[in-house]
Formats: sequence, C-alpha cells, structure tokens
Amino acid sequence: MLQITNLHASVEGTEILRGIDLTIPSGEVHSIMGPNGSGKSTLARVLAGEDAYEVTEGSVTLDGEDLLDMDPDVRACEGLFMAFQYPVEIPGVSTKYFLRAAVNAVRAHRELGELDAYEFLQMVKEKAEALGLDTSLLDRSVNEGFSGGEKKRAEIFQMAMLDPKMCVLDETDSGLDIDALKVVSEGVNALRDGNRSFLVITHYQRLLDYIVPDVVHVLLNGRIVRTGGKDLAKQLEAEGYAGIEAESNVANGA
Amino acid sequence: MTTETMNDQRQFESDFTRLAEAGGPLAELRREAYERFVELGWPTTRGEAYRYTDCRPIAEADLQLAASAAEVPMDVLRPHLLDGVPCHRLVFVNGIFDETLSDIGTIPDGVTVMRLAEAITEQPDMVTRHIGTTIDWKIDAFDALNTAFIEDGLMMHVPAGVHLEHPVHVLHVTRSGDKPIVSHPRTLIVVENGGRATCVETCCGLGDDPCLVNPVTEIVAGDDVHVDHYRIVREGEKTWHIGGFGLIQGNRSNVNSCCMALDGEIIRNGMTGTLDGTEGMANLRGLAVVDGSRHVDNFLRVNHMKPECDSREYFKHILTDKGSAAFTGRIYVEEDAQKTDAVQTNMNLLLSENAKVRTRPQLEIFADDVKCTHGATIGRLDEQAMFYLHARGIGKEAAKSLLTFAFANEVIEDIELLPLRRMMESLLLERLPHGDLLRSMGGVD
Ligand SMILES: Nc1ncnc2c1ncn2[C@@H]1O[C@H](COP(=O)(O)OP(=O)(O)O)[C@@H](O)[C@H]1O
Ligand SMILES: [Mg+2]
Repeated sequence: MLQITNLHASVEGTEILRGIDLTIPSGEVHSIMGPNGSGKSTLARVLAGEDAYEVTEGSVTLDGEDLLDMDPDVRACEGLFMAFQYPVEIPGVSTKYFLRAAVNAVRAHRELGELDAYEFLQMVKEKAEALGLDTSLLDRSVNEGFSGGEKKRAEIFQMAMLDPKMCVLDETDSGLDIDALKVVSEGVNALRDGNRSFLVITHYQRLLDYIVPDVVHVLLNGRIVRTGGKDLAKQLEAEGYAGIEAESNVANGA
Repeated sequence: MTTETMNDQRQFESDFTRLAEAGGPLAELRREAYERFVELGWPTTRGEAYRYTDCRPIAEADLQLAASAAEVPMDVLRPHLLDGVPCHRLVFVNGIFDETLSDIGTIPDGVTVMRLAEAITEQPDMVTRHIGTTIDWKIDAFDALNTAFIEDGLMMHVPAGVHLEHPVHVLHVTRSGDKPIVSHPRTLIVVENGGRATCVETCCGLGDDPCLVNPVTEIVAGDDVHVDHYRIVREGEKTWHIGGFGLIQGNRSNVNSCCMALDGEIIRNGMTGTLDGTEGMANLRGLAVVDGSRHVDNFLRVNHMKPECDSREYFKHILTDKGSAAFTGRIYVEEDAQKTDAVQTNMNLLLSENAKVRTRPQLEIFADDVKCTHGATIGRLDEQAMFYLHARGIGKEAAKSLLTFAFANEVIEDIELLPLRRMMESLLLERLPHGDLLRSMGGVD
C-alpha cells in the first residue's frame, strides 16, 4: 500500500506539489489526471526520488516503510517502479546489460538468487514477446534511437522484468498510436494480480478505456481537487479541465 | 648548458660510445640522432610539444641501459597474453630479447617477423630504407634518443598481397631495480601494397622503482594496405613511458592505431600520421584511465599530404583523484590535399574535483575544399542517466561504473581482434572505480 500524506515539494525554490493526500491500497489501480503543468510528473519523480525535487513537508510510505528516507535505487529494490514520461537515452550501455544489472540488483535486495545468463534470456524472451517488443532493441543502447512508442513499450517491459509492487506510469500513453496503446495496456493489465498497485498518470481519458481504474483523482496546481470513480474520467473528457479549475478556484477563494 | 634545466644529456655518453663501437649499417643514423639529442636537450614545458609534460624528473634521473637480462617468469607474463588466438610473440625484458618467453612460431613464406637486431644484419637495405622515415626525430628529443640507441625490437615486413593471418604480439617488460633503467625499443612495420597485418604492443612493468621506457614504433604502409596496431601501457608505478608512433600510408590504405594508457607515472603518447596517398584513412584512437597522480599526454599530428583522405582522432580520458591529462591534436592539410575529411574528438570525463585536463586542437589548413571538425568536451556523468539507472535499482557506485564503462567502451568496441577487446574491457573494469561491482552484477559479460 502506498500512502501519501500532505506532500509538499518544490523545485528550485518554487512549490509545485502543495499538499497531496493519496492512499492506494494493494491491488488497486488509481489514475491521476490533470492538465499540463499541474505537477503530475513532479509527483512521479518525487516518488521515485529524484534529487532535483525537494520535499518540504509531508510523508510517503510504501507498505509502512518511509519511502522518502530511501535512496532511489533502494525504492526500486523495495518494489517501486516509475515508468518515465521521457525515458532517458544512455549511449554505450546495451539494454540487455542494463536490464540484467537491474534485475540482479533488485533480486539481490529481495534475497532472491541471481539469474544466470540462460534464465535471464528466457525471461527476457517471454516478457518481450508478451509486449510485442522487438527483441533486437535489446542489443541497442538503452533507449537510444528508439521511437516514442518503442520507448514506452520498453518501459513497460522493464516493469514486467523488475516485478514491482507499486507501479507509477507517467503518461505512458503519450505518443502511442491506438494499436500500441492496446498492446501496452494489455501488458499492464496482465500485471494486475490483485496485489500489485498502479498509479496511472495521464492527460487523456483514452488510456483509461483500456486500463480501467478503480479510482480517479484530478490534480490541479499541485493539489488533488477531485476524487471519484472511473466515470470522473469520462466527465473530464466531456467537460475539460476548465469546469473543475473554476470550481477549485472558488473553493480556494482565488 | 643552463643550470636551470638541470639536464646533462651526456649521461648517455658511455652507453652510446659502447654502442657506436659496434658499427653496422645504422651507425651513421645513430650518431646523427645522438648529436641531435645532445643539441635539443631534454624538452621543457616552455616548448610547444612538451608544454604539459614536465620532463625534469626524467632529466634528473641517472638513467642507464640494462647491462644484462633480468629474469621474468612466464607466470608473470601470462596475464598480458592474448587468450585463444595464436600470436607471433616477441618478448623483451628491459630492452633485451628474451628467448624463453618469446614464441615467434611459424612465419609464412616471404613474411618477416623477427628481432630488429637480426633484421639489421640480415636485411640492412630494408631497415635503412624505412627506419626513421615516419617520425621527425630531428625535432623530438625522445625520438632522437630512441634513434640514437636503436639496437633491438621488432621488424615486420609483409610483402605485397600477403595477409598475415595471426597478430604479432610484442611485449616490452620493464623490471625495475636499484638503478633507474632506460630502454629504447624500436618497432618497424613495413606492409607492401595490398598487404594486411595486425600488431599488438604491450608495455608492462614489474617493480616500483623509476624507469624510462622510450619506445618508437613506425608503420610504413603501401597502397591498399590494412594495418591494425594497438599499444597497451601498463608500466610500473614510477615509470615514465614516453612513446613515439609514426605512420606513413599510401593510396587507399586503412590504418588503425589505438593506445590504451593505464599505468605509469607519466605516459606520453606522441603520434604522427602522414597520409601520403589519395583516399587513405588513418584512424587514431586512445583511451586513458588517469587516476592517482598519474599524467597522460596524447600529442598528435596528422599530415594530410594528398587529396581525398580521411583521418579520425578519437581520444578519451577518464580522470579521477589527482590525475591530469593533456590532448594536443594538430591537423595539417597541404595545399594539394583537397577533399580532406578530418575529424578530431577529445572527450574527458572528470570524476573528481582535483583532476585536471587540458585540450587543444590545432589546425593548419592550406587547401580550400576540406572538412575539418574538432570537438572537445570536459564533463561529468550525466545526472539524468544516473537517476534513470537508480530508478531501476542500480546503486550509486554501480551506476557510476556502468556509465563510465560506456563512455570508455566507445573507443574500443569496434576492435575486431576479439581476445584483445575482451582484455581491454576487463582491464577497464579492473581500473574503473567499482568496476568489480559491474562485473559481479553480471552487467557486462
Ligand atoms: N526540474 C524542473 N525545474 C524547473 N521547473 C520544473 C521542473 N520540473 C517541473 N517543473 C515545473 O513544475 C510544474 C509542473 O510540471 P510537471 O510536474 O512536469 O507537470 P505535468 O507532468 O503535470 O505536466 C511546471 O510548471 C514545470 O515547469
Ligand atoms: Mg508530465
């Protein structure tokens, strides 16, 4: 279970997250929707532990453990996975080597044995096929020269490889055509096992037709201003963010 | 002599006199070179070529040629040998040929792979025709010194159209003792039209006392030749390695040379490439791990004399601790050398606050239709890439190693001689801060 309480975070002195409360019980899929610049990626990156963001107030726990106290790699080992909105290209590091290093680091932390080369390749093959990922990508440098769609697929593939308990997907749908969107969604749905939790961040409702959330939150100016069922996403799609924005401005006395 | 340079070039007088008495076909060249060395004196940091390498400790050392062979057990040599590929192997210890450690093997008909000392007596015309033609020993004191003391080393000659199948591996082992030892190994590689050859040089040191290793390697490549040349420098802790490399190549020839500088107090890699035929390609590369208080100086000059040649200089330095590195890349394009395509790259990765690097491109272009680009970067590890690796469970030290390895690997990843590439990768991992982590994670095969 992920529990976020009164989370405030700033970047370069500007407050971006302004008091977020959010609880995601095990096995649930929550979605965060919000206009550009509302702080969605900031939340994802704060959860993953990027240095540039300073948490000024509040707490985050994962299964009761203080997440904010952990280094980013420890968070990953403890089962947090963040699929990047903009996956980083790393020239010179082959995807296969990178993945094997990642899988073995995570397994070592979880006191599972290292995978040998054969076991690793079997696992790669299986998971890549399931996601329709061209395995020749794995011989290339991490994300280097991948198309937008390939990058997103590769993120979900990594997620499947690392067996996380809490998955944060930051606009995994952006840049995907409808076929790729279906494949990626199927990949995510296949990982829904009743224990694993998801936080699906998106700008558009479209993704939520394929990954159906249990709960939808609306993020505006660094605050969650609305929470509802999956119908809230449909309502937003129909009405846009403007209505909610006006409403929340009134509520804030702005 | 001014006292401030503190050098006494005459310290080599008695060694030289003894050598001069032996006479032979190179006596005249040696005498000229010796006189030139005395005239030039030790280089100082006031000159252009050694601006970034302070040779005073070398000048002040009481250097002597090794009087007799030092014993080196095969076990000590083994880690330096290439696995899984037959090589024609010549081993020199302190400049003296070691018969037991060497294994020249069977040389194909018409090909010469032998000690230079033998070649000087057996093929004097070949040696005198080519030796000293690729480097300018009249301006470089260390090249002059090497030339003055040419005695032994490697001679390779590949006749027209012949592809020498197996690499030649020459190892220069320096075993330091109570007296600072100097050696001047010379390698001459002549490949005639359409020939092909590979040569690997390993300079390795045993012992931590001061030594000077002053090797010069020359490659004379005809037309349509392909030569791959590598030098791995793993000298002793207190060794000064001042290496020279000269290359002259004919039409449509393709020559690769890569120097991996790892160990030694000072490592200087001076390279001169001359493209003397049309449509040639000179590909010069270098990789250095500069840690401790080590100093590495890559000093290059590429001369484009004829049209339509390409040259590539690709040098990377990884600096940690108080390491310092310098790169000078001079590209000279003759009036005639139209359609020259020269690319020069020097990239530096700074892993500590105290490391220092200097880089200077120098272009002298007298033709008007040329493409010369140079790029130098000095940077630290990419923060975004670091975060991405952390976000996948890879810890600080391992991530650092992985990115550093990736930075360095670009220099060596295209090396076709697989056992050599594997050796270089593994040396790199050994030397990277926490490279062991990378290996144990199974990140790199
Ligand atoms: N590293 C950063 N440096 C400066 N400003 C940032 C940084 N990251 C985010 N911001 C700012 O924070 C706000 C929220 O950005 P972001 O979290 O990316 O929004 P979203 O993902 O919802 O589009 C924006 O105004 C953005 O300009
Ligand atoms: Mg975003």
